[in-house]
Amino acid sequence: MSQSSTGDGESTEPTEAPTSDKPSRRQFVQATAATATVGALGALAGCSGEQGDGTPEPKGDGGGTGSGGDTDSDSGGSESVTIDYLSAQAVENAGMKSHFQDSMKVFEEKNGNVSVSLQTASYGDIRSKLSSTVSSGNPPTFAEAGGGGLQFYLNDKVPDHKPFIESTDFLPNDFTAANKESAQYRGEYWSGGGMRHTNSNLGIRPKSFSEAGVSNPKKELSTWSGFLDAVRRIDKNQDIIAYEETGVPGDLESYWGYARTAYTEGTDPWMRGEGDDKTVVVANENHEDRGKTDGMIKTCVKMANEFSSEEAAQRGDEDIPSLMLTGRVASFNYAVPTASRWTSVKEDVKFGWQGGDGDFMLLPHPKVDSEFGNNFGISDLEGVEGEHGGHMWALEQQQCIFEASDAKQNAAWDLNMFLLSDNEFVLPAWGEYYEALPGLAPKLQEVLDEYDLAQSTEQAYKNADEYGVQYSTTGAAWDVPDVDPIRWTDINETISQAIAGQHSVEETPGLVRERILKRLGQ
Amino acid sequence: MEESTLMDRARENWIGYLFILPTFLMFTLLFYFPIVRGVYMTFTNARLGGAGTFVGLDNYMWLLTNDLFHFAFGWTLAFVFGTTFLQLFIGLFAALLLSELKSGWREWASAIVMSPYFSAPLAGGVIWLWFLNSDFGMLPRLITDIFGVSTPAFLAEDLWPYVSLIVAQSWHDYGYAGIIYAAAIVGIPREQYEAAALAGAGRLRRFRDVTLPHLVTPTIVILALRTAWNVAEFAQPFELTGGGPGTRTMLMSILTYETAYVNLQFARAYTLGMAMIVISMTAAIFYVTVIQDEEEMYV
Repeated sequence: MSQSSTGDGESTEPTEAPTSDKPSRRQFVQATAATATVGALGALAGCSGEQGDGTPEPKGDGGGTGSGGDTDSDSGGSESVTIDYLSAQAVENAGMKSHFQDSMKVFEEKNGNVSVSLQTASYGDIRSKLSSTVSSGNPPTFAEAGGGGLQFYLNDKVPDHKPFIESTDFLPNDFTAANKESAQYRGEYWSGGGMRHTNSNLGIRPKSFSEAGVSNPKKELSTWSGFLDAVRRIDKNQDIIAYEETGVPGDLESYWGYARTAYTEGTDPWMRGEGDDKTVVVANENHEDRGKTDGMIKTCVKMANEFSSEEAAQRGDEDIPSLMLTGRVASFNYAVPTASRWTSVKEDVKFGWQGGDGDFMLLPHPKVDSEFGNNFGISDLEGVEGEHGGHMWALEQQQCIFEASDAKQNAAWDLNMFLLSDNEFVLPAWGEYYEALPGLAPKLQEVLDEYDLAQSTEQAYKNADEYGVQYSTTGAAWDVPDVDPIRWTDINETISQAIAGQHSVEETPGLVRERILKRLGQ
Repeated sequence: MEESTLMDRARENWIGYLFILPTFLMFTLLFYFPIVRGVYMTFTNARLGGAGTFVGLDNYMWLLTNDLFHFAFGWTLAFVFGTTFLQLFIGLFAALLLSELKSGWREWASAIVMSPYFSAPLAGGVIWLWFLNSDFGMLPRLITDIFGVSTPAFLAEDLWPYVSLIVAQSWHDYGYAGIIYAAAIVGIPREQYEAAALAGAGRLRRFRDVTLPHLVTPTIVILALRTAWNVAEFAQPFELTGGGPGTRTMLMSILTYETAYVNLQFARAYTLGMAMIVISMTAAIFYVTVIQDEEEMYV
């Protein structure tokens, strides 16, 4: 960022300075100081998002002619169009990259008058890339905008997607519950859904747990008390991190997942209410569910403090496969269906229990049992019982059409339908290259039928299916504009600070509440 | 005598103006305009994709009452001055060593010494991440194997993350100071050393009385430029700690990124950027004042 070529160029001048006359030195140094200041300004110039004076077309205009999922359709009549498609999923791994490139050709063949210019960015960079292109008045036609898409919608850079969705026979009905929840904001559709999801689950190293005396993990580790007992035994008797919290703020979705296990029937742990009339449950002394939510926040911090490494507050989920496969970590709560994450570390990973000799096994998050609060010293959870459940990633993958000509918008919608519903893309994508849950519910069974999946993938599918709405998308149901700052900053960063020892376990829920209320302007 | 007007001067030098016009236009478009617009933005509530409305000094009030900003401001100062001065000393040391080498060797050694500076900051972050990593890193493994003691988590425990960030950044950019110092040292007339040696000055005395006076201006140049760049340094610290654990190593540059791209509050992010400019400008003014004092001392 700071090592600009301008800087290098400027450095040639000072090197000549020592041989020059003294009287010019002051001027030279003053010029240098000015350059330094301008350099800092330059660094900021890149941050200035020109907020555009575009005049978007009225919402809904141009959307009504969507093809309804028929990827053989003629987009916008005979007019040839090229659409820019910005995707992070397309570069998740090498397999996805080539599958996307091939699939764009397939899509173009099926839609003779449409060309797709595929642009990519990592999930870490896509938001800034999208911001730059929108600010410069040159947005992509279609993009994996994630939660930022809602902001673009609220600022009229993204049209209402309802006409597109209504033009199909099967949407929104065929959307997964996570997609239905995520694509809407107070009844309006700001996106065309996400093409895939992953869900959070418990991941264990069978070798460590069998050594700790566990013989039936599905039963013995089905509750937090059972899991805690096993983790305590591992912590005491084995030279391994018994439980590693993925506690970097960007990866505390582990907590988002098991926060739900103190609840039943998909109840939101954090916020309730319609429109702007929100009731924040966290640290709310007047709310009957406060103990469940606060208790799980404390569970997160205490589990990290007692069993995790010193690096837990910085631990990302991508570290875990290598740590678990080399016998350094015995369990974590950020296991996802994507088996390729594990096989990319070790080709012959033994998935599943395998008589206690497996490398990695995926289970549902443990459910809170009535004894857990007492067992772990968290009075808020005494007597509380919940269900299996977890977090379903859906907001991050939402794909939006941006303001463009009708022909381009229609072509973009066709591409969205292709990515959601065409088996030529869907089945290999989520069954082979990046194991995940498809964005359309009926496709889930088709992937299961088509592929012989690893235990971790299959179990993750089962968890999402068996426990239904209890696997839900954190924040999607809140219907607040600041959903991302609340999720990532007010909740996750505050808990991560607690894991890092910046404040105590007990005061953490109160701080989370304070920050959420401030964000909501309450 | 009739005073020449602006128009007179423009007529006289129109070719010169014509030549700088394209550059001026591009600078205005790509540099000055975004800056002016950004400064205006600090008085709005602009967010991702929206121009926002005028909110007066709200963003500055938010800044002044934000605990994380207070921390990030202080830590940024420590990081910037720690890094800048370490870069200065290591760069000087490298330049002095290089000046002792024979031509031919010097060029190759220079290339090696300067190589970190020319590596991408993100790559530097990855190198240090793997060097310091508690589980697979080379440094903890070496210390454990050689001394038989366990090492702290260099990127997470106690004061180590702060030390690690400063050391890693100094490693990456000391080459800049090295380049300038090396050029300055080469330019020092050999006769001055010979005269000092004839007068009985030892090696240290020659360094103090001959070399150092020639290095004052390059030092100010390095300090001013590196301070400005280190304030805005982002990629390597972001890769190494991302401001964590928790927010314990939150630099203003990382906070600016998070405010813009996680919290989507562009106006507040730019307000943070204004605070970074204040640091750079204050440092630049301080350095200029120092050089003026130094000049007056010599006069």
